[in-house]
This record gives sequence, structure tokens and C-alpha cells, in this order.
Amino acid sequence: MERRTVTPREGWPARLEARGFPLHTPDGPYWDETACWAFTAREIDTLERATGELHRLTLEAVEHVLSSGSWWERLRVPPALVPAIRASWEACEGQGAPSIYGRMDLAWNGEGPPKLLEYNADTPTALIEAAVVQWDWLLDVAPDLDQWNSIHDRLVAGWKDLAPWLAEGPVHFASGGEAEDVLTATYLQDTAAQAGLSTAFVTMPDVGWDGARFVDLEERPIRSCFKLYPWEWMAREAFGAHLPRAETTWIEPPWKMLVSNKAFLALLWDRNPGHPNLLPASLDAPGFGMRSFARKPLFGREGADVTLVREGETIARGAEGGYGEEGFVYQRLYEWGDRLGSRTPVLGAWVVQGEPAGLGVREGDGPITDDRSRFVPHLIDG
Amino acid sequence: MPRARRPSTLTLLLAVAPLVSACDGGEGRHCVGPDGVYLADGCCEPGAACNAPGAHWVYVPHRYYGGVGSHAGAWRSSTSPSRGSSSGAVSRGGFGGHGAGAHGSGG
Repeated sequence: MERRTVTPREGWPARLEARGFPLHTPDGPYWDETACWAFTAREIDTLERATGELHRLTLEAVEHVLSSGSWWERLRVPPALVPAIRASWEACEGQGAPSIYGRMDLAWNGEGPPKLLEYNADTPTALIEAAVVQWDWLLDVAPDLDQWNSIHDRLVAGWKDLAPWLAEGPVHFASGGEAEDVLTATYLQDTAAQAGLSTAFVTMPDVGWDGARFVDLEERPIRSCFKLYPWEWMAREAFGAHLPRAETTWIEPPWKMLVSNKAFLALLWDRNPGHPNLLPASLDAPGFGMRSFARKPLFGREGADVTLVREGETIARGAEGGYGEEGFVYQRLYEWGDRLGSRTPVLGAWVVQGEPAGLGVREGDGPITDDRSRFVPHLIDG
Repeated sequence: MPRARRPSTLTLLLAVAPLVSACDGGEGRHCVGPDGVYLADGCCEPGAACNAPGAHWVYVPHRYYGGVGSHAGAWRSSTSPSRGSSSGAVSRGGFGGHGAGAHGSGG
């Protein structure tokens, strides 16, 4: 695993825009092809195995929550949503309600086992750049080499697999108004259309309630809906009261709200202490004698309100985002060492329909990955 | 299983790109055939001569870019001027109250 300096392609912004990705320089550099991360096939195997193993642990932990009932409060789940979560886990003849994707953020310097930082199981973004843009880059820059990337094909195949479980009528795709969110939802809509599904887009503020059903702007019932909008937000907004009785099949399903909650990291460690792909994590206070840790708000996003502490001293703080009211998880700090110099790339391992599917690498200027962290393409060489 | 596979056709995504970059308003939906390729909008109307099985509307959000490559602000719904607004028996605006600030809803 090494970072290589490469020459950017001539006219690369126009190439990205032609591929449907205009957000390459939103408030500063985001897509960065002045460098790439090179992995060996063995290293990719290590990442792929870790991703599969962590997803397995995730499903086992969700099953534990549902069977034991002992973690609902610690996960800050609104009681009114417990039946919906349980129903979504048991739906479709026990296979669970339709789910299409998620992204694990892993810390790894190429030595020892990769460690889970968090699992964005509900509303992950940085998808188009991982699935499409970096693949184009590989074809242009190193067509004889490989890349861990079957994300796009797996998404299309995934929608085909889900189709029999979805209600008649269009699958709606909904997001908030942020450009990145709209673009991500639109891209997923595209993959569903390529799978042969009828689709429609609606923004979350435009979702209507007719007294019995959620409807779109044409007052068609929203029977199946991919929503790029967090469950914890939906639950607390005015229409959250309608969720328990609405018959909409939401993708991602309600059980994903357990996993995207960072308290889940403490649950994973509680269930699997000492697991090589996990970092010790505890709720409410640093546990396990931790003096070096990341304090993360349970419902935080994009690194906001994260604090990193090493040997009792604060070394970094994320931007203020107003998160933390629900509490924090304390996760042992991953020590990067000096193998990668001062770089601390976060490895976003994509999971599509429960299978490891590909990789997207983000680099920040500091140790906290946030919405300004740059996306750097990767390849497999060796 | 090969680790890398070439992404299959991106026809619709390619078609969407200029639309989302155009920021010129206009129709918010487009007719798409069963193979993901845009058709004339009239082809999605029932009874149209060019209407084919599987043709459907795709809703394309617009007016949310300040320009290509610049993130000037969020797209705003034109139909939900205020939270909890209602039209007839349908109320709207009950979702979407978060995420209008510095952080989107993705992660």
C-alpha cells in the first residue's frame, strides 16, 4: 500500500462532468488525481475479507438487538419505531426488507488487520466517484492494471434481485436538497433504471401525506422508496409520526438505523471483544483504560463534532455540526505509525447487497475525515 | 470472480449530467425507454404512437447548481414553500427539515 504521485489527465474536469459528476471542485479540491493509492492484490484480499467479516458481525449484532431487546435504549431508538425495525428485519420470508448498499470506513496502513472506524449503512455518499469516476480514471491512466471495483455492476444486479420484493409502481428515489445528495440519489435511480425498474424522483420536502399513504407530487402512492435521508431525521420530523402505519417499503430499511448509529460500534465490541477488525469502543466515557481515543457523536456526520485525544491530550477537533445531544461513543484511536508518512487515508469499503464490492479512498488535511476530504483514486499493482 | 468489471452502460447517467449542469429550469421529468435511453416526452403519454412497454418518467431535479463544478447552494422545492404546507387532502413538508445547512444527509 503506497501513495504514488501521478500526472492528472489533460482536461480531467470536463471528463468528470461528462460522466455525470460535476462536483469535483465544490468548495476547493475534492477529486484529486495528482496522486493515487496503489495496493497489492494480497492487500485487497485482506480488505475484502475484513469487509465481509465485519458485515457478518454486523448482521449478528442486529439479530442480538432484536432477540435480546437489551440495546434499544443505548442505541437511542425511538420506541415507536421498534416495531418497524423488527418488521424490516423479519420481512421477505426472513431475508430482511430490501437493502441495496452501505459503506464501511476502515483505517489501515497496510500492516496488521484493517480496523472498522464506522459503518455508514443508511445514507452513504461518495458513491459515483468510487463506482464510476475512478474506474474511468483507471482506464485512462493504467488500463493494464486492476481496481477493486464492481460497485456499479453489483448495484444494477442488486436492483434486479430486489425487484420481485418491491411493490408495483415506480420505485421512488428521494433525498434532501444538497447537491451531493441529489446526485447520489439520481445515480442510484440510474442503476435501478438500468435494471429495468420504473423509477421516479422526489425531494424529501415534496413527499406528501394523504391521510393514509405517502405520495409524490402527482399524488401517486410511494410504495417503494430509496431515501438518502437518515432514519433518525425522519423519525423526528413531522411525518415521522406516520412511519409506523405507512405501507411504504423504505430502502435502506429501518433496521439499518441501528447500524449507522455510532453506538453500534460499542455493541460490536461488546459482542466481539478482541476481534482483530474492531477497535475497542464504549459508551458515555472512555472504557478499557483508553487514554487515546476518538469521541464521536452517536448521530454525527462527516466528521463534525469528533474529537481525537492521544494520551489525554486533544489533538484534533472536527467542525462544529451541532451533534452530540444524544451522547457519544469512545473508540480507541487507530495509530497510523509512520509507514504512510503523515497520511491517514480512510478506506471506504462498499458493500452491495451484503457483498464486498469495491473501494474509495479519502484523504483529509488532518486526521479527521470530513466533507472536504479529497477523493483519491486507487489501483491494484502487484 | 473477477475483482474488477467494467461498469455497464451509463446511458441514463450520461443523459442526466448535462441536465443537472444546465441549471436552466424547465421540465422536471423526462421520458425514458425500457433500455434507459431518453425518448421524446410524448412517448410516455398513454396512447401515444411511440409509447413502448416499459417507457416511464424519470424525474430530474434541477436548479440546484450555481454552475458546473460549483456548489452554490441547495436545490429548493418549488412546491413546498413552508413546512407543513398543504394542498387539498395532501400535506407536504413533513420531511426535509434537516440537512439544509453545512452538512447534507449523506455520510
